Amino acid sequence: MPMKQIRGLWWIPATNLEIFAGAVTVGSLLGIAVRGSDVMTWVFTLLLLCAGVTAIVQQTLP
Amino acid sequence: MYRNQAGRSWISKAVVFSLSSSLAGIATGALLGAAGSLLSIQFRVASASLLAVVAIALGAFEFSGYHVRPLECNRETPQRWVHMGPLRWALQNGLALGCGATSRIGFWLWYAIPIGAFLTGAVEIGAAIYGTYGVVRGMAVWVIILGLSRHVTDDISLWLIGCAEAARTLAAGQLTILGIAVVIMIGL
Repeated sequence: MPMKQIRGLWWIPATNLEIFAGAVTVGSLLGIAVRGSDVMTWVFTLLLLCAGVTAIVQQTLP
Repeated sequence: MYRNQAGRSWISKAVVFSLSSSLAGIATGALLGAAGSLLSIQFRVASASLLAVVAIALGAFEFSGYHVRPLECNRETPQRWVHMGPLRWALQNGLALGCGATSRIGFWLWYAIPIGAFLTGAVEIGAAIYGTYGVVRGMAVWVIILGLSRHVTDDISLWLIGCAEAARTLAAGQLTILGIAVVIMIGL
Protein backbone atom coordinates (compact mmCIF):
# COMPACT_ATOMS: atom_id res chain seq x y z
CA MET A 1 0.00 0.00 0.00
CA PRO A 2 1.35 3.44 -0.94
CA MET A 3 1.83 6.83 0.67
CA LYS A 4 3.44 6.50 4.02
CA GLN A 5 4.82 9.97 4.17
CA ILE A 6 3.56 13.05 2.42
CA ARG A 7 6.18 15.78 2.05
CA GLY A 8 7.55 14.84 5.45
CA LEU A 9 4.61 16.46 7.21
CA TRP A 10 2.23 13.71 8.16
CA TRP A 11 1.95 9.98 8.02
CA ILE A 12 -0.75 7.51 7.02
CA PRO A 13 -0.69 3.96 8.40
CA ALA A 14 0.32 2.00 5.35
CA THR A 15 -0.51 -1.57 6.28
CA ASN A 16 -3.35 -3.32 8.07
CA LEU A 17 -0.94 -4.24 10.82
CA GLU A 18 -0.01 -0.61 11.41
CA ILE A 19 -3.65 0.46 11.47
CA PHE A 20 -4.42 -2.36 13.89
CA ALA A 21 -1.44 -1.63 16.14
CA GLY A 22 -2.28 2.07 16.27
CA ALA A 23 -5.92 1.40 17.06
CA VAL A 24 -4.99 -1.09 19.79
CA THR A 25 -2.68 1.44 21.39
CA VAL A 26 -5.21 4.27 21.33
CA GLY A 27 -8.03 1.98 22.42
CA SER A 28 -5.98 0.55 25.29
CA LEU A 29 -5.03 3.97 26.59
CA LEU A 30 -8.63 5.14 26.38
CA GLY A 31 -9.89 1.98 28.07
CA ILE A 32 -7.41 2.14 30.91
CA ALA A 33 -8.03 5.86 31.38
CA VAL A 34 -11.76 5.33 31.69
CA ARG A 35 -12.06 1.97 33.42
CA GLY A 36 -8.79 1.02 35.12
CA SER A 37 -7.17 -2.29 34.21
CA ASP A 38 -9.56 -5.10 35.23
CA VAL A 39 -10.92 -7.80 32.90
CA MET A 40 -13.90 -5.67 31.91
CA THR A 41 -11.48 -2.97 30.81
CA TRP A 42 -10.22 -5.13 28.01
CA VAL A 43 -13.67 -5.85 26.64
CA PHE A 44 -14.49 -2.16 26.89
CA THR A 45 -11.20 -1.40 25.14
CA LEU A 46 -12.01 -3.89 22.41
CA LEU A 47 -15.44 -2.33 21.94
CA LEU A 48 -13.83 1.11 21.59
CA LEU A 49 -11.42 -0.42 19.14
CA CYS A 50 -14.27 -2.01 17.19
CA ALA A 51 -16.00 1.37 17.01
CA GLY A 52 -12.88 3.06 15.66
CA VAL A 53 -12.04 0.27 13.23
CA THR A 54 -15.62 0.13 11.94
CA ALA A 55 -15.67 3.87 11.27
CA ILE A 56 -12.37 3.53 9.38
CA VAL A 57 -13.24 0.47 7.30
CA GLN A 58 -16.61 1.96 6.37
CA GLN A 59 -14.73 4.65 4.46
CA THR A 60 -14.04 1.96 1.85
CA LEU A 61 -17.75 1.48 1.15
CA PRO A 62 -18.78 2.72 -2.31
CA MET B 1 -16.38 33.20 -6.71
CA TYR B 2 -14.74 35.33 -4.03
CA ARG B 3 -11.20 34.65 -2.94
CA ASN B 4 -10.95 31.64 -0.57
CA GLN B 5 -14.71 31.23 -0.60
CA ALA B 6 -14.46 27.56 -1.53
CA GLY B 7 -11.90 26.91 1.22
CA ARG B 8 -14.04 28.47 3.93
CA SER B 9 -17.08 26.64 2.68
CA TRP B 10 -15.39 23.26 2.87
CA ILE B 11 -13.97 23.96 6.32
CA SER B 12 -17.31 25.05 7.77
CA LYS B 13 -19.08 22.05 6.23
CA ALA B 14 -16.42 19.71 7.59
CA VAL B 15 -16.70 21.23 11.08
CA VAL B 16 -20.50 20.85 11.07
CA PHE B 17 -20.22 17.30 9.71
CA SER B 18 -17.66 16.25 12.34
CA LEU B 19 -19.57 17.79 15.24
CA SER B 20 -22.94 16.37 14.20
CA SER B 21 -21.46 12.92 13.57
CA SER B 22 -19.85 12.95 17.03
CA LEU B 23 -23.04 14.19 18.66
CA ALA B 24 -25.13 11.52 16.93
CA GLY B 25 -22.79 8.77 18.11
CA ILE B 26 -22.65 10.00 21.71
CA ALA B 27 -26.43 10.52 21.95
CA THR B 28 -27.27 7.16 20.37
CA GLY B 29 -24.82 5.36 22.64
CA ALA B 30 -26.14 7.09 25.74
CA LEU B 31 -29.70 6.12 24.82
CA LEU B 32 -28.71 2.51 24.15
CA GLY B 33 -26.79 2.35 27.43
CA ALA B 34 -29.80 3.72 29.30
CA ALA B 35 -32.10 1.21 27.58
CA GLY B 36 -29.74 -1.64 28.42
CA SER B 37 -29.73 -0.69 32.08
CA LEU B 38 -33.43 -1.59 32.19
CA LEU B 39 -32.53 -5.25 31.64
CA SER B 40 -31.10 -7.53 34.30
CA ILE B 41 -27.37 -8.22 34.34
CA GLN B 42 -28.07 -11.97 33.95
CA PHE B 43 -30.01 -11.38 30.74
CA ARG B 44 -27.31 -9.11 29.35
CA VAL B 45 -24.53 -11.60 30.18
CA ALA B 46 -26.48 -14.48 28.60
CA SER B 47 -27.15 -12.39 25.48
CA ALA B 48 -23.50 -11.36 25.27
CA SER B 49 -22.34 -14.98 25.47
CA LEU B 50 -24.67 -16.07 22.66
CA LEU B 51 -23.78 -13.09 20.47
CA ALA B 52 -20.07 -13.68 21.08
CA VAL B 53 -20.39 -17.15 19.57
CA VAL B 54 -22.25 -15.64 16.60
CA ALA B 55 -19.48 -13.04 16.25
CA ILE B 56 -16.77 -15.72 16.19
CA ALA B 57 -18.69 -17.70 13.55
CA LEU B 58 -19.33 -14.66 11.34
CA GLY B 59 -15.75 -13.47 11.71
CA ALA B 60 -14.44 -16.91 10.76
CA PHE B 61 -16.73 -17.07 7.70
CA GLU B 62 -15.60 -13.66 6.50
CA PHE B 63 -11.98 -14.44 7.25
CA SER B 64 -12.12 -17.57 5.14
CA GLY B 65 -13.50 -15.66 2.16
CA TYR B 66 -17.25 -16.32 2.48
CA HIS B 67 -18.96 -12.95 2.49
CA VAL B 68 -22.10 -13.00 4.62
CA ARG B 69 -24.11 -9.91 3.71
CA PRO B 70 -25.02 -7.90 6.82
CA LEU B 71 -28.56 -6.87 7.64
CA GLU B 72 -28.67 -3.27 6.51
CA CYS B 73 -30.48 -0.51 4.64
CA ASN B 74 -28.26 -0.81 1.57
CA ARG B 75 -28.40 2.83 0.51
CA GLU B 76 -26.52 6.10 0.70
CA THR B 77 -27.83 9.15 2.50
CA PRO B 78 -30.62 10.80 0.42
CA GLN B 79 -29.39 12.86 -2.54
CA ARG B 80 -32.14 15.46 -1.95
CA TRP B 81 -30.27 16.65 1.16
CA VAL B 82 -27.78 18.31 -1.19
CA HIS B 83 -30.48 20.86 -2.08
CA MET B 84 -31.10 21.86 1.53
CA GLY B 85 -28.05 24.12 1.73
CA PRO B 86 -24.44 23.21 2.46
CA LEU B 87 -24.54 23.43 6.24
CA ARG B 88 -27.85 21.63 6.64
CA TRP B 89 -26.59 18.94 4.22
CA ALA B 90 -23.44 18.54 6.33
CA LEU B 91 -25.51 18.47 9.53
CA GLN B 92 -27.93 15.81 8.28
CA ASN B 93 -25.17 13.72 6.73
CA GLY B 94 -23.20 13.90 9.98
CA LEU B 95 -26.17 12.88 12.08
CA ALA B 96 -27.00 9.99 9.74
CA LEU B 97 -23.45 8.67 9.41
CA GLY B 98 -22.60 9.19 13.10
CA CYS B 99 -25.52 6.93 13.94
CA GLY B 100 -24.85 4.68 10.95
CA ALA B 101 -27.97 2.54 11.15
CA THR B 102 -29.98 4.22 8.40
CA SER B 103 -27.44 3.90 5.61
CA ARG B 104 -25.12 1.25 4.19
CA ILE B 105 -23.35 -0.65 6.99
CA GLY B 106 -21.22 -3.04 4.98
CA PHE B 107 -19.50 -4.86 7.86
CA TRP B 108 -20.86 -7.15 10.57
CA LEU B 109 -18.40 -5.51 12.92
CA TRP B 110 -20.68 -2.45 13.00
CA TYR B 111 -23.22 -4.42 15.04
CA ALA B 112 -20.70 -4.71 17.89
CA ILE B 113 -21.16 -0.98 18.51
CA PRO B 114 -24.92 -0.70 19.22
CA ILE B 115 -25.04 -4.15 20.82
CA GLY B 116 -21.99 -3.40 22.96
CA ALA B 117 -23.38 -0.01 24.03
CA PHE B 118 -26.72 -1.64 24.86
CA LEU B 119 -25.38 -4.65 26.76
CA THR B 120 -23.00 -2.64 28.93
CA GLY B 121 -26.13 -1.07 30.43
CA ALA B 122 -24.41 2.19 31.38
CA VAL B 123 -25.09 5.58 29.83
CA GLU B 124 -21.48 6.82 29.98
CA ILE B 125 -19.96 3.61 28.62
CA GLY B 126 -22.54 3.39 25.86
CA ALA B 127 -21.83 7.00 24.95
CA ALA B 128 -18.07 6.33 24.94
CA ILE B 129 -18.38 3.28 22.66
CA TYR B 130 -20.83 4.71 20.14
CA GLY B 131 -19.28 8.16 20.51
CA THR B 132 -15.91 6.76 19.43
CA TYR B 133 -17.58 5.52 16.26
CA GLY B 134 -19.24 8.89 15.62
CA VAL B 135 -16.07 10.86 16.32
CA VAL B 136 -13.83 8.69 14.14
CA ARG B 137 -16.36 8.66 11.30
CA GLY B 138 -16.78 12.41 11.58
CA MET B 139 -13.03 13.04 11.63
CA ALA B 140 -12.43 11.00 8.46
CA VAL B 141 -13.47 14.02 6.43
CA TRP B 142 -10.40 15.91 7.70
CA VAL B 143 -8.08 13.13 6.59
CA ILE B 144 -9.69 13.24 3.15
CA ILE B 145 -9.42 17.05 2.98
CA LEU B 146 -5.77 16.92 4.08
CA GLY B 147 -5.09 14.18 1.56
CA LEU B 148 -6.67 16.20 -1.24
CA SER B 149 -4.87 19.38 -0.25
CA ARG B 150 -1.54 17.55 -0.28
CA HIS B 151 -2.29 15.70 -3.53
CA VAL B 152 -2.02 12.28 -1.91
CA THR B 153 -3.84 10.78 -4.84
CA ASP B 154 -5.86 11.98 -7.81
CA ASP B 155 -9.03 10.26 -6.66
CA ILE B 156 -9.11 9.41 -2.98
CA SER B 157 -12.52 7.74 -3.18
CA LEU B 158 -11.23 5.26 -5.78
CA TRP B 159 -8.19 4.60 -3.62
CA LEU B 160 -10.43 3.91 -0.60
CA ILE B 161 -12.68 1.55 -2.59
CA GLY B 162 -9.51 -0.23 -3.67
CA CYS B 163 -8.78 -0.96 -0.01
CA ALA B 164 -12.13 -2.72 0.47
CA GLU B 165 -10.72 -6.24 0.61
CA ALA B 166 -8.10 -5.32 3.21
CA ALA B 167 -10.81 -3.55 5.21
CA ARG B 168 -12.98 -6.68 5.10
CA THR B 169 -10.14 -8.81 6.42
CA LEU B 170 -9.40 -6.29 9.17
CA ALA B 171 -13.05 -6.11 10.24
CA ALA B 172 -13.43 -9.89 10.22
CA GLY B 173 -10.32 -10.29 12.38
CA GLN B 174 -11.53 -7.65 14.80
CA LEU B 175 -14.96 -9.29 15.07
CA THR B 176 -13.39 -12.67 15.81
CA ILE B 177 -11.08 -11.22 18.46
CA LEU B 178 -14.00 -9.45 20.13
CA GLY B 179 -16.07 -12.65 20.19
CA ILE B 180 -13.21 -14.65 21.70
CA ALA B 181 -12.53 -11.95 24.31
CA VAL B 182 -16.17 -11.87 25.41
CA VAL B 183 -16.31 -15.67 25.66
CA ILE B 184 -13.14 -15.63 27.78
CA MET B 185 -14.45 -12.82 29.99
CA ILE B 186 -17.76 -14.55 30.63
CA GLY B 187 -15.91 -17.77 31.36
CA LEU B 188 -13.72 -16.11 34.00
